[in-house]
Amino acid sequence: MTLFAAALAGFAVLAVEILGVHLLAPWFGSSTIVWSQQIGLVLLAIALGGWIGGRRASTTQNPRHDAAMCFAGGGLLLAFCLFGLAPFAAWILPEGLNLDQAASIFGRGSITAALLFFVPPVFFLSMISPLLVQIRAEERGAGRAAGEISCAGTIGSLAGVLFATFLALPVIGVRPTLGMVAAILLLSSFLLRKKPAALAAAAAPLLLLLTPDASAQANLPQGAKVLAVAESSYQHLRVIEFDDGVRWLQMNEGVDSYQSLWLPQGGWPGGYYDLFALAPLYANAGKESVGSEQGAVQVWVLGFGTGTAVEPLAQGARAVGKGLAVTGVELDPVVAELGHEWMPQQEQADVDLTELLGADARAMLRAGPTNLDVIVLDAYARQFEIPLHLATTEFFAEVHNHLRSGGVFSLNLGTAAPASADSGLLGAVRGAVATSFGEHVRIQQVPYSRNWILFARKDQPLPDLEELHALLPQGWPLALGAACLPGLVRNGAPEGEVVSLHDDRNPLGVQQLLDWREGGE
Amino acid sequence: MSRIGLQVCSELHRQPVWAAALLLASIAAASGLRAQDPSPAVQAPPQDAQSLLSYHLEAAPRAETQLAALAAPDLSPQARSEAVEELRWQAFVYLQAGAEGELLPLLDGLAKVEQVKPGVELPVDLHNATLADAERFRIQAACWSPDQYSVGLDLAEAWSGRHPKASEAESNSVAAMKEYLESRLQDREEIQSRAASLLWYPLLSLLLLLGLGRLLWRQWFS
Repeated sequence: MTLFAAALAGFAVLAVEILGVHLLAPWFGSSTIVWSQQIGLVLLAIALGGWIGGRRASTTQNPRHDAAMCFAGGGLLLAFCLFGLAPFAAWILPEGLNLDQAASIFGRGSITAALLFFVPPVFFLSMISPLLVQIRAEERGAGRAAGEISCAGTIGSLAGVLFATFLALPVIGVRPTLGMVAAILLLSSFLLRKKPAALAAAAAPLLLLLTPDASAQANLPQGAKVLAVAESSYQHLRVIEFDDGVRWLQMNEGVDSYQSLWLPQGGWPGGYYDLFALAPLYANAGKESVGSEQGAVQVWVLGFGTGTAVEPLAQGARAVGKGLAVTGVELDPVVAELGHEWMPQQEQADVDLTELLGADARAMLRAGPTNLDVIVLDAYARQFEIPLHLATTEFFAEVHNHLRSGGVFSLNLGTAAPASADSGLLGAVRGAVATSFGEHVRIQQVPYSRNWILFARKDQPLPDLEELHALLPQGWPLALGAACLPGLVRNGAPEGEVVSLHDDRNPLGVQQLLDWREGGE
Repeated sequence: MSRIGLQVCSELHRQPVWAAALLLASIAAASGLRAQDPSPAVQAPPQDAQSLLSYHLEAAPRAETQLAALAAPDLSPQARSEAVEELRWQAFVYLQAGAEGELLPLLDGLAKVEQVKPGVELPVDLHNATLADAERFRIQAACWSPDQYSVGLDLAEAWSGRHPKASEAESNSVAAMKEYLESRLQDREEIQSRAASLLWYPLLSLLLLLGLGRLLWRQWFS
């Protein structure tokens, strides 16, 4: 019984730690800061709980009763968390928040929420182990009891991690899982206190699940309505629709940002996506010709989302007289599922689409072909963080190796910091790309937005403005043309020293946070 | 017009590039810019990327020459008027395309027209209209750049006083932009204020937990 109780406590602590972040994510995001705060505060609560629990174990006359009370405390506080976190978050978050200004609010809000809603239950659950050691030590001695309880608790924690990742997030859901954990904790309390008559009361936390999930409406842009909500192993997702029929796929905190975009009438998606149309043109410039062997421009999109980039890439391919063979790599299969259901791609005769789902972009590219015309990287994690392993000198060298001579690499970069293409995030990434591509690098700002698109061409120069003018077909969006004018374009490697990005030392995460904080000030 | 301008400005927040064309269309309609702008070379602004690049390749070198010529006191009034008119038109083309990088230096150049006014025979009406447009375009560009909201609002607040002879349509469009900038800045101020107050929340939460912990301690260990 004591070993089972220790395992249950360990299981619950890890479930709270992992699922807690997913409970916070619709409100405050799940950035590295949020994760670090959650892990740090849970560890602090474990430490304090262990200390206080040990003190209590050495003085109490009835450790079984105390352990039961701690189970009850943990269960009730966890149930309170299910009930109280959403109203609390809605109360402290201002309306009309945009991503540029959100960084500081999200950081402070998430630490407050974690302190109030996750630290107390973990504290009580962490008090249980010393009390259980005290119970078990009477039979087996202190050393053996401590070892066995520690082992059982750790195995329980391991089970909590696996359960949270592979069952709770993709199948059961965050709130139902935490509700069940709260109910089981209460049940354990009654069993330890040998009060079977009260067992039915343990189901109380499950009743809370009947209340509506307010997180679906968290940080909802003005004029939008929610069409679908899903929780994946990676993020909280929702599809929203505006009055004009435009749909966004949003991740985590949402606010004014989207992961993918869908237009009911199809066509150019607008924003930074349109600039991807330039990649086939750039790859076709000079003596090179795209898709000469296969008859279609061969493109890989890393971070495919629901496929918003397909239309501009198809436009680019048509402009050079080719079809498009695009392979989309998307890590999160739930993104693709939502896309297929709510943001379906229109069938186009000259577009051949292959989706590789549930796969890491770098791993898949390593196994991919080495004669690609275009590689597009539009992969973001936790809203605004480029995955570190997809922004290193070594990765860009791999990209370089998978392009044919004259092929083009295109990368979407978002930053809220006042624009300078020679420093900060932009300078660092531009410098890392230039390590492989030399001076054949260009970064173009999307007019009046926080996005920049980087282009790099293997072995060949990128076309200058006059060449590009000759390549551009009629009818492309005006804003795309504005992004090609010299005022929004920087060519070559960055000037001056920039931060180096390597697999074994990559300060990009910190740089991105600094950029977003700077943008909010 | 005011309502339309604001509506488009709020659209702009979620989709800047699309809104650019809509907003500029509304501004052009309100100001009657196309009708009143007697650009000799261009009848309509570029409608797509290719025509924008065509226009830029042709007009940009000429603009540099014209800006340099405007600084010279011996330029004939006729040539000066034509140069200013064309630069105004060029600024409008860049504004409606969203070509911020080209627009802002050009507006700086146009603003300097004022500096050469004494002693040169630029018609006063043209001079005023040029400055009014340059400032109006800069206000519009500021609407699209959060880091320029304050600058834009300052210009918008001063605009009516500086250009009392502006048309009603132009005044309305500036008023709409001013209203938009005020609302954005007010939102920002509220968010910053909330962020500042949130600074204390973790500390208060910690104190609350410590207080409860102290109660628990007394309950169990006293």
